[in-house]
Amino acid sequence: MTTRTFICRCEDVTVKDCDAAIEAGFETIEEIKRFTGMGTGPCQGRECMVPLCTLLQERGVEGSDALAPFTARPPAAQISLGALADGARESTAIPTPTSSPEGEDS
Amino acid sequence: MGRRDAPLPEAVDLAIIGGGVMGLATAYELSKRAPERRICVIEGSYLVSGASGRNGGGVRSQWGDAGNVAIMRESLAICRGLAQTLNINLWFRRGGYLFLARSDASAARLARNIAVHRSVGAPTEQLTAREAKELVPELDVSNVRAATFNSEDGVVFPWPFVWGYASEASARGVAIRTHTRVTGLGEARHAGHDGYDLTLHTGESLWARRVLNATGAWSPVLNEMLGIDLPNRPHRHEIISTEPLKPFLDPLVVDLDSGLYFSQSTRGEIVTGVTMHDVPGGEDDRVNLGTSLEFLERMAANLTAVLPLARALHPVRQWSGPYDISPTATPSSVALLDTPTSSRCVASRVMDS
Amino acid sequence: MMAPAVGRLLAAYLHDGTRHPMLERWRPERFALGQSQRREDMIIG
Repeated sequence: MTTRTFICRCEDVTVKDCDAAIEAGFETIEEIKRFTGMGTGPCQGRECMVPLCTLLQERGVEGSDALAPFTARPPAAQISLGALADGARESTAIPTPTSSPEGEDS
Repeated sequence: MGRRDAPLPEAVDLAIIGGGVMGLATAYELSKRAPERRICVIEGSYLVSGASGRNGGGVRSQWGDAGNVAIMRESLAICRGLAQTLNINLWFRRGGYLFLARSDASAARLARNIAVHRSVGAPTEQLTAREAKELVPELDVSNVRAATFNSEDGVVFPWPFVWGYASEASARGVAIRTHTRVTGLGEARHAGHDGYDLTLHTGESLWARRVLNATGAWSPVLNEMLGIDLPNRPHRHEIISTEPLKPFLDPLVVDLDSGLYFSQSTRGEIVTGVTMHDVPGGEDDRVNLGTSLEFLERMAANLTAVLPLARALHPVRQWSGPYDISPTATPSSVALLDTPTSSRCVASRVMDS
Repeated sequence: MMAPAVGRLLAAYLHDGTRHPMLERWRPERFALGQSQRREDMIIG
């Protein structure tokens, strides 16, 4: 890897960017994600987490939580908001917004 | 900026517990006014781990209380020059906030708000449904009865606020210690002054003349150590961001009847959430950062009704963050522990703000 | 986000004791004293 190698292709985060984060005192994947934006794009870390782990090991960053992956969050698979909205309309628990809106004044 | 190995003095004038935007902004502002003060910030995790790193980034003056409107206008005014002051890109975009009302009750609330806003000089305008659609042609306004718009409001990317305040405070001598939990807090005199002893999970301890509890929704834990029981509790709010689109949406839009809001970040994502009156999984006295399908479906149903093009959009991430809520929905969590001996009258200690 | 403005108010108070009216209103004593306050009704999300 050179300093211009991309660690995160979704958000254009390079090795140099990650080195700057380490230099600033960020030594866990959670922190480097937030400082550089790596892992916040469409792949949500699927591509970039392993290259970052490799880099952190190369840089000698240690600590029990340094290489812990950032939190996995929904969605696990792609689903459109349209499909989710249709699911909601089939559910009686969720009022649909077009049915006589009741304002609440508190 | 913060480090897990930042050295802490044995005694400080002010210990700020909580490395969120509130604690760090206070540290920065005080270090500018009083460079001789010894200030430290102690964060239990990393710097944007709390609500400061989990929110939708809205900054608006359109509130219901005149005092809140005035304070938020001041925040907006500070935000204008803050990127230069803090030397960091805050991604502050002033696209305004557009509120939509689909019921008479909500329309009445907007009308009342306009009067409140004007009383403190905020330029909120009343709009018709048609005018709202002119601002955002992609909206379905068929049920909209009234709208308000304030062009001063805007959105930010919340993380750089924290980095910016942390790095400028640090440059002014504030010690910022991360990944360090306060495990004990009690009154103690030192060199003839009243103050507090702090014990840290690392086994270290330090004395502080004053303590600022800036841990937001986590604040009851620290308050308990001093026997303080305030009625503020964490309230979980969920949020999603979608795949990015070309920029098309200027204002942050709020549908007052459902509590839906959505904006387009500078990165192009739609960032959106909706009010859940009952937090899925139940209320909890401790912070809960989970997510739910109930939220996702409710948000999707409401968003696609107001913004039909969103039907084709895919969420990229769903997360949550805590609001720190008091019974009057007013701030309570930034508690300043100040001069213990003078303060036994209420909640056993004086606390401000 | 109130922090930029409230950070200044708190810093001014910590520096020289200046009390902004909003700091007065937010004193936690209000809960114990049972002072009635207007509820902020524009919390969204």
